[in-house]
Amino acid sequence: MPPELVREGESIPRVLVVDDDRMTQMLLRRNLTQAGYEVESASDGKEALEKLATAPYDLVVLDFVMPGMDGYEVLGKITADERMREVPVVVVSGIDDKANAALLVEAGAADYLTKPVDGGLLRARSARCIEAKRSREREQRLLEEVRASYAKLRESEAVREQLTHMIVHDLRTPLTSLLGSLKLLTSGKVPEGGQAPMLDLALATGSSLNEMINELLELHRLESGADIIDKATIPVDRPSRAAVDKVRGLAETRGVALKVEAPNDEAPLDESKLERVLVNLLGNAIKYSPRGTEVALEVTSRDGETRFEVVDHGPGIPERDRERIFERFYRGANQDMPSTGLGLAFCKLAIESHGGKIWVDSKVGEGSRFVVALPR
Amino acid sequence: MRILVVEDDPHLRKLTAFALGLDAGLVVELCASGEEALDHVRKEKPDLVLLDLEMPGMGGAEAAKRLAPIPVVIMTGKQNPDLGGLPIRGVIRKPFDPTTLAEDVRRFA
Repeated sequence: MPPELVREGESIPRVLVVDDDRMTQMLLRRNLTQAGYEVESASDGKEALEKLATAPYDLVVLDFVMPGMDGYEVLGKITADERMREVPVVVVSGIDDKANAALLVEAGAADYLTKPVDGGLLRARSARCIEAKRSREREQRLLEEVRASYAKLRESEAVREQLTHMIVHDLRTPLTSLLGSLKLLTSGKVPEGGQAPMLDLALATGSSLNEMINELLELHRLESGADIIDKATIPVDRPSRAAVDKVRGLAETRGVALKVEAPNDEAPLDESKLERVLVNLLGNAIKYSPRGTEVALEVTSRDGETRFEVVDHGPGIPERDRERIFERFYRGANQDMPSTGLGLAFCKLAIESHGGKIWVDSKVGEGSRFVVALPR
Repeated sequence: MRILVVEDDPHLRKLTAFALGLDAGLVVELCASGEEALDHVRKEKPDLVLLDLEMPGMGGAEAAKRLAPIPVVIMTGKQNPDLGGLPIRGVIRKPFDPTTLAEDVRRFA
């Protein structure tokens, strides 16, 4: 077989020989098998069509004169059938008739040979037909790859557009408040003692801008693969208590009690990423909790996984939002909280790169339970 | 004069309150949504409502209709907001100048 015919990753070409004469069938078979092809045969048009419909072939060598369906009819059925019309057909005929040959080529035959068939010529014509088919297939695959990467590009373009939209709107709003409070402070119109709350506002808006930018960067680092998951066997309560410590100030300001329950246990975890995820979840839970309620972090070890569950008694999340809140920039029904719309997207990406899962169980009016399940 | 500020963004709500607070003659009340504002005016009667146009849930346009006959001034960051037929006194463009906001609003009272 010509070496250029089969490339890496491609299968050995399969040929179907169709001839009612056993002797010719055997000769053609032997000739093509020696050339390196996988050869099968059929004794009439009906059998040939059945085989073509159920298995892939790269070439049909078709006898013209057969009882029942003749070669012309079989050719017509092949070219009319979507499943097999891409398979080239070389017609072999005992009739040396140029008009007949022209008719067959017009009807879709790839080539025409007269009997007795010369082995060298058969191999050469077969190889050309197969090469043409394979090269069409390669083009097709290439086209599909190009289409797929184009679709991917368009998708990331859509994300980029979303990002631009977010920068224009969400970053602009705190910036307006920041500049506004600074403008008030420098106007000379603010009475003595009235400046502190304005400075607080400037600080708060500056911090939320900073937070947004950090979250964008973190998300970007995780997505680009620059930030890899770094697991070590650690006590499961360590990142849990560290996360709770980080949100203690926020909880006190909001009048929300904090509780943490963690077993004395070890698991392979990326400590810093898990801590950031827990800080995110706890921060959300506290922000949405009514004063006087409790936010709990419950850690449990079960077969093959460690679960970190953040439980609140906030307003709950309507069912339609429960999946979408993990998307970037999606904000659910509770719009009154300052939020970057990125925190949960970060959590999902971090937990999934850790081989785990994150989801939320919730009941509107009763509260939410965010569950992080990590394999041990 | 009593002014009710309706703004969903918590930072901007604060800034608006500070800006109006520079005018000692104004008493400022705050709401975070159109729904909350309608609830509020059932109990309290402000002389003017400063209402954000772009809010989730009930937007400013719908709220303005339902707040009538209380005088409403719309705040919006849109270049060409569709305000046709709304019962409003005027429009304040965002970002507004906080040092002159009180005067600007008083002009519509």
